[in-house]
Amino acid sequence: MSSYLTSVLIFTGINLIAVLGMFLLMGLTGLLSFGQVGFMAIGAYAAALGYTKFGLPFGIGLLIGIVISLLVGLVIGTVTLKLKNDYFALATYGFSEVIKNVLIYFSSFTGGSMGVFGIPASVTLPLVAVIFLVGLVITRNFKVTKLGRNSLAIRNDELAAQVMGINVFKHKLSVFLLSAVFGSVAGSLLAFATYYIEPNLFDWNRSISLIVIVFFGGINSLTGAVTAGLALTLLPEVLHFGAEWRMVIYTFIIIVTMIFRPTGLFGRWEISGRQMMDWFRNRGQRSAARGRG
Amino acid sequence: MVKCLLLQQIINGLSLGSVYALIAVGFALVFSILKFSNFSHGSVIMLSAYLGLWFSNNFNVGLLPTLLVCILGGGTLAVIIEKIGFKPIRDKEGPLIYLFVVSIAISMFLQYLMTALLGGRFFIYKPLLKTSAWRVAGLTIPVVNLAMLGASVIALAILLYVLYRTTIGIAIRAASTDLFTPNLLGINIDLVVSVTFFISGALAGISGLFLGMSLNVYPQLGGLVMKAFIATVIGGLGSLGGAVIASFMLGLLETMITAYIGGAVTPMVSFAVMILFLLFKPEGVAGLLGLSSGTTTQKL
Amino acid sequence: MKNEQGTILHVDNVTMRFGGVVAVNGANIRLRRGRLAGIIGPNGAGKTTMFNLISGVYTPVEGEIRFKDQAITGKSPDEITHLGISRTFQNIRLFEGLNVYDNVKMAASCRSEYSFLEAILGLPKVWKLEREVASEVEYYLDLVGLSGYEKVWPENLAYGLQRKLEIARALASKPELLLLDEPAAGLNPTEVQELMEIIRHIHKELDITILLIEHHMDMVMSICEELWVMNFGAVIANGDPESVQQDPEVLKAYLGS
Ligand SMILES: Nc1ncnc2c1ncn2[C@@H]1O[C@H](COP(=O)(O)OP(=O)(O)O)[C@@H](O)[C@H]1O
Ligand SMILES: [Mg+2]
Repeated sequence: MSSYLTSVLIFTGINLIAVLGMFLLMGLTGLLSFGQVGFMAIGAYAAALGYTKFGLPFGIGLLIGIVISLLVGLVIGTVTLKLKNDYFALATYGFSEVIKNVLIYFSSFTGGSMGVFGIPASVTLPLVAVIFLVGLVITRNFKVTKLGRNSLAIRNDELAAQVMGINVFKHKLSVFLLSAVFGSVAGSLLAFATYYIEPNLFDWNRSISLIVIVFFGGINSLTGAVTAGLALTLLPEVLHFGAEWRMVIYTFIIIVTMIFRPTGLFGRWEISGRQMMDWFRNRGQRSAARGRG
Repeated sequence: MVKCLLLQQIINGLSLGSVYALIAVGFALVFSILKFSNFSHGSVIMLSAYLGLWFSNNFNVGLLPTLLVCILGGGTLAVIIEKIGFKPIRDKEGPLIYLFVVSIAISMFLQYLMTALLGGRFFIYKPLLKTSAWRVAGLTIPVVNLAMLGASVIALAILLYVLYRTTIGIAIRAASTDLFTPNLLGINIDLVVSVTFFISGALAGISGLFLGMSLNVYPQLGGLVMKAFIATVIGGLGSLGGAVIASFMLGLLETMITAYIGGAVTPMVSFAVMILFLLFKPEGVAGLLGLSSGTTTQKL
Repeated sequence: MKNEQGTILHVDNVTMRFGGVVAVNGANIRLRRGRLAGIIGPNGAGKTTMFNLISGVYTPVEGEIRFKDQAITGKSPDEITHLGISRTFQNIRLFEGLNVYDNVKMAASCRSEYSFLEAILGLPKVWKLEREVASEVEYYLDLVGLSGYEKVWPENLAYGLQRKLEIARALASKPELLLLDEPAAGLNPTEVQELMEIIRHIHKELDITILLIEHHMDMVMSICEELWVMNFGAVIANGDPESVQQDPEVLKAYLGS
């Protein structure tokens, strides 16, 4: 495999891990958050600074990032999850801006807006693929157990959900923390997939990209979110769009989707193991029939 | 000297506040009726700034004709955005959060479109005012800001007149309590919404022109709408009076913090104040002052 | 084991105000365990507000509510549901993102004893408990006559079936006290008849206490063992259907309004 293709796939995989977190939070639970990039930044800097300042290996940096993200997420979630809709969204935006500014401000430790150099690009495609698959299984388990049903109930009618016995705040906080972990892991991987990170990598545009992907694929469909993530990360890469045109296309897509098909391209459709088996079986029978005929 | 510096900061703070106020009122007006934060307001500001620039340079005209064009252009643009982006979702009775998401997407779309087409370049207005600043007793008073303050006051006065003395204004106020009351009065809701967007866009047009004159014109100019959002929240959801007062408070606060603590913490402090208000005083400044009982513009 | 003597629900001098409106005014209700009882009264009398107070959607400004001799005033709706009260809504509030089956399963599995972590890791215990819940769901769907509709989206169900689904969902959280807010509203006479049978059947089969709000007088009269009449936020009469029907206060409230 060419090294260009490998690196594109690595970045796509990392993006997909972040998409999974966004899917849980915004797709299933209906919490529109601009805070995911904040957790990505925490993960990225924990891993990067862990290595450059303390010589810690990637795995340890990744774990430290997760722990910090959980602690920060606990505080931020407790404060912001009491807010409704737009206010939650903007408060989480405030959070990721604060993270960015903190990283710029404490420049003697974080390198400020210059960023952190000299990170070994030691993340490999198999590693990203394995972590993505683990994330995918976690997300799928979430969706098909009571967690997913509770999320959808809350997204649909918060009061009714509470009356049916869900501790809405506790559930939202758990989802918020889980998606913070996804964000953090994606961030750590990103740091070790490049030689260099800077605060502006974790800006509003990255949040928008994640939101676009989830809305485009479908807020109800994990299959849709992953497919949209693949398509929207790979396509601009393959077509060599500049950053501006990429965002023009992204935002155009989301406008059209929201107006014409607000449930996303995939609606509620999920690919399932059984469907695939049926499909293969039918094909087998058809070819067997052909063979006989 | 110290006193003088403080006075200068206050003047700067009030100037900044008047910018925020003009943006915040247009923003709050839409919020009061449709109950969502309309971030496309920022792109109307940005495009109006480009429009004013193009118009004043191309036709070599002065401030007033340019202002008129920006008002009409901004208003029309806001109505077009409403018809294309929001009306389909309103008709399908989609959740409010969709309107919010679309408004953000539209503002990003227009921002990146301008960047892609024109590049991130700054464009500079030719001088539309004779003097750029007055110097009085060691203080510098930027004339653009004075003009903006004047325009804000006039625009808000006209807005008050429209809201309280005209049929459509009364319909808009009725709609802010319940979108469907105008229907009962025999007034078309779409008309009320369109007029509201036109007024809001016209205010954005004024903001765009003056912002363009004082900060130059670039695709991210509309980003200031975030401050308007914060001011609207602090003001009390959808209360126009609260938004104006909160805008000036925010302007002063930010100027002081930037001057005495440092620019890096300013955005954090603004956000922190907003979150504190949301958590502990969701009725905002309007609630504190007894201006309005909540989400309506009934009292200003 | 039916404890006919015990009082399952105490509503003591409860008052609720919205701004200037006194929606419930010093109301008292003592509901015995195992009853099938009703609240009637003109529109705006405060019946739904009473349900909202009992289920914890609102906290009363005065008075106390006790369930199974435990004060529940000020508890949150989910805590109250876990204590054993479940309800339906006057204007149906089904979860549109979930199909018929999952609407009921949501309520049934809410208390499933697996944790967040166990669920996302997909431990065998989780799938075992999920399978157990699945059979419960089938039972409740069957109870209200919705078997065969599992995969349908609630917004595509006929109105009468939506009402039944709400009842199944409420039952799935295994309440000891079931609150039904105008379950027959918007149904045609045959559907009302059918619903009455279902309610009677549920009451007998599950041995639970039911309190329902209803406008259909004939339905109330034929299935309720006890009635409370509300008017302007106050309880103006209480007793068995026959005596309530003849109460002069009640006649005045109904004929006068
Ligand atoms: N959330 C609320 N806010 C304001 N007023 C309310 C609210 N809920 C109920 N009310 C008022 O309380 C009174 C009783 O309403 P409700 O309990 O719904 O009556 P019922 O169910 O008997 O028809 C009505 O006047 C209604 O307008
Ligand atoms: Mg009612």
